[in-house]
Amino acid sequence: MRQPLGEPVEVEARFPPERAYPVPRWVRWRGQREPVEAVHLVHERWEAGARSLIYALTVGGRWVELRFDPHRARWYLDAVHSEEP
Amino acid sequence: MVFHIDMDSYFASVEQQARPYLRGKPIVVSGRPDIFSVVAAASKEAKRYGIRSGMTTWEAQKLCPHVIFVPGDPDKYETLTRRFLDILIRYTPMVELYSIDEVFLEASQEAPRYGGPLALAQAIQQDFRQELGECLTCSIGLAPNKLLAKLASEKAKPGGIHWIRPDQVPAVLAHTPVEAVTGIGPRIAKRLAHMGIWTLADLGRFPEPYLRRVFGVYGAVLALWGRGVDPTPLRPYWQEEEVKSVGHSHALPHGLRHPEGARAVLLYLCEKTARRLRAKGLAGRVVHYALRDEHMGVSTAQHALDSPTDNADTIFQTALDLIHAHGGFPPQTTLVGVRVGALQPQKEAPRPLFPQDQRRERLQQALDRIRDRYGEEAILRGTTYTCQVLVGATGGMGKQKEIALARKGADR
Repeated sequence: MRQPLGEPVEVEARFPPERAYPVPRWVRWRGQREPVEAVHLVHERWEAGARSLIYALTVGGRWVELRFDPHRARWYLDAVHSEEP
Repeated sequence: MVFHIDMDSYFASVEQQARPYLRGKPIVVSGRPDIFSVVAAASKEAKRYGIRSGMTTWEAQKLCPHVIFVPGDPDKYETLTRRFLDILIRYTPMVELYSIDEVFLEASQEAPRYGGPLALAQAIQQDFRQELGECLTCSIGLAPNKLLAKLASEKAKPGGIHWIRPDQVPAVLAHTPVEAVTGIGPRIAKRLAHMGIWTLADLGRFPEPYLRRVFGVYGAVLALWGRGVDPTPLRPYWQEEEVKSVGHSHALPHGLRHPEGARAVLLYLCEKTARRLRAKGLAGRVVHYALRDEHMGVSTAQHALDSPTDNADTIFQTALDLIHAHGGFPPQTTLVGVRVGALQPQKEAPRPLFPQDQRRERLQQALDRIRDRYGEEAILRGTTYTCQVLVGATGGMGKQKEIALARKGADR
């Protein structure tokens, strides 16, 4: 199930010129640096008049949802998937 | 040559693309799964159990007890629609966004460059898989016009390509039941069946003057459809006209199909309409309502106000007065809709004169600020609480015009 978190994280990302959004490569969370294995989907969300980018990724073998706030250039770990019901 | 591109199980496929742990499982995108809601989209796996869009979540769970309910996420679907529109525009500018998950494309001139219509359709499918994701498949129908292309894409489902060539049209018409055509609903199909018309070919053989006598102007359109002719031209996204009216409608789930439920939904829709008007900086003078009963009977009326409004209470009260003047809510209301037309920029509309109206305006502005900051559902009227069942159930639907206009704006 999707477990909501909302914690700030450090992300190393590339900004490819042909893409409209940065592509995360590594995520550092709670002291661990994990590689981004797959980017499943990126979509935009408009909230409170501000645009953010939502990433569905597999990081270190686990599904996570990252949010990038382009105004503050900050990344947040919004949710992870856990097997528990 | 017209292409009809239909995304397969769109909302459900987007969710499966975003969350690999949902792939291969029966999932349903709906409103809030914890309360009575409706199915907005079912995955291919859920469809195997007989689950279809429009069913209640209760019915879906009965058909498949282990079905997974996923709340709708309109932002996700809208982003993906913008993205597949961008892909198609690389091939041709003649792209019509027909709905959030359906597109018509005219590519007679471009097709030879890609090796013919079939090769072009395959290239589009490949681009979608590569750029949108492996779960986002589409079915493509190729035919001489929009009507036949849509019939062809039905044959192509899921994920295939079906081409109706001009010489195959008579056979297609002979085998296609009239209700397969979008625009021929169950009531019309029943009336046609009483006249001995079952297939499009039957319709084509029927004398047009008789169809006109029975169905009026619509009879002429039916006669054309019966001959496999579609009178509607492809309307590319860049010809999309600016918004002429703003409104919302919603089919009601069983639990709300009573006058109080319909009244609550009307208020909820008026709030949404007024909020969208304010977001666009518009106000409108003509309020229009639509109600549908359980026999598919529709009641509509409109009223012109003295001055334009963007206020939910004014829109609601006007619609409510109209409804009462036209016999009230049907005991079993199945659909409620409200629309505000005769739009003009809000800054040109007169400001409220009386203190109570000024207070109401300030209240509305305060509510807008709260919703801007904390989200649409952060603050609600108590009377619209029951409408939470509708939230997310049809997220993203009906947004095609706004997406097309945004893309048109980006081209400039």
